[in-house]
Amino acid sequence: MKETTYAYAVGRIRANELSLLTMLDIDQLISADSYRSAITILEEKGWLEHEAHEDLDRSFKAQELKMWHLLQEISPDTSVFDSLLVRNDFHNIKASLKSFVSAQLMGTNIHEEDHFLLPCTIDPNKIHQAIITRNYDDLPAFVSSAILATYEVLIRTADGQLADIMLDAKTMEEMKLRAAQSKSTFIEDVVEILCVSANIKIALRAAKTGKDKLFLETALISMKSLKKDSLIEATLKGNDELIHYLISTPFSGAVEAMKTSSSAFEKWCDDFLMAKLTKAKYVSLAVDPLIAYYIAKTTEIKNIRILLSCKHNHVASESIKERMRKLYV
Amino acid sequence: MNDYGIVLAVFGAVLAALLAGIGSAKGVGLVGEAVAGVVTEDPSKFSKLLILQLLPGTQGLYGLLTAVLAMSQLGVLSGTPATLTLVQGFQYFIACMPIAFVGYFSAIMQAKTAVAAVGIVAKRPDQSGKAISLPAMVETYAILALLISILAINALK
Repeated sequence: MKETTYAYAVGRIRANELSLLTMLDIDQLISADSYRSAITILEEKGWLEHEAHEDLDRSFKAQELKMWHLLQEISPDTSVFDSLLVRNDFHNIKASLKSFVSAQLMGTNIHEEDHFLLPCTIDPNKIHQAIITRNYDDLPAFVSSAILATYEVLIRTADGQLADIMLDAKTMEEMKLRAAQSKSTFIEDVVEILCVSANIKIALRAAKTGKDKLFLETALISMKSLKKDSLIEATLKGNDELIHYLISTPFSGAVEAMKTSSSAFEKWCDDFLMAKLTKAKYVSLAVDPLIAYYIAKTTEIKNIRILLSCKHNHVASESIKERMRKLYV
Repeated sequence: MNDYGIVLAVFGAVLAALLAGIGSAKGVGLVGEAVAGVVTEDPSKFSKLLILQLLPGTQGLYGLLTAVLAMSQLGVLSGTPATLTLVQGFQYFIACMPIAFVGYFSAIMQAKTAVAAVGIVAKRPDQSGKAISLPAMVETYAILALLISILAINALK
């Protein structure tokens, strides 16, 4: 697709970027004297609708859907977002499968629709119906094969963790594939950071819990900037060796955060991605600003979610500040 | 063979209007799309953005001006076309080419710069003066090409 076809979309995104929260807004929210005051500030800014605080989860989902509807409306080709949206598809497969298997094995009834993530590329209800009826004909091959393989594992072993890592690996493979299909180096770079971060998180947890090679072979995938074999080798030798290996990769900056805590490392990953996204601010005729807006808005929602949760639990302002992700604007 | 001289000269004049006009149409259209995106969200910025949209339109006018000047000098507009040798016709043809090509490419490049400037106005409307000056710089080269074409056509009188 010619880059000039994004002129209208980028124009609208630039105007919409003005409504994104800035670090000043976040600071104001952090210094709010109570949870209720933070909610009032968000309502005054028009970020939250009045009375929406009664069901914040619904409000956050509504914000994401509103953003997605805008992107759908203005994007000449929405398939460019697939590499990001498939994460939600796989999450929905996971939620649906787990609720189905729990119902079968233990007779528990989980409202899976509460756990579905939107936006996604495939209607989650369609996935759930296919799982219940075991008829996968209407689903794309990548979904049906993932369901079949995971279902098999869940039924045979009842090992939820194994099912999770299998699906996570398939998610990353699908993201990589969709990114390559988009023919956008920006999307490929974004997906590379997302997948490498996910790989390191898995490796870190595996090194701490002493997982074996078979687990790592299943859970990790090979990326441009992080080779699977080297990562497995380092992980098997333990945490220190893993950190030593990461120093030799473009993700050496993560090491300090990794030493602090897993949440500090997750924040580092989000900030590293945001640093990459800021390049899209200076691009006028390409898909980059649209992708950046999508991630910027989801990061903003994540920040507000963390912030309100901390305010609700009376966490000190300094601790909240440490958890806040860098913003796009 | 004498007829080919005037044909070649008129062909040059037509290309000046055609290429510069196509470049401007593409450019104005491209900036228009970006402006429409911003105005959808914030109609108050329309007047500032309209200037940016107009900027790549000037090359089309320069092409038209060159074509009219050449055809007027060739007597085409008055209905009494001059008789030119092939060499004389080629001279007119070459004289029209600077604005034809520079007009086409500068209009498109100016439009791309204007689209970037639309982003500045969208986010910082107080900086619209600076935003307009960036694509206006590209205009310099269209004006230089127009100047060369006009001087060359005049020199062929």
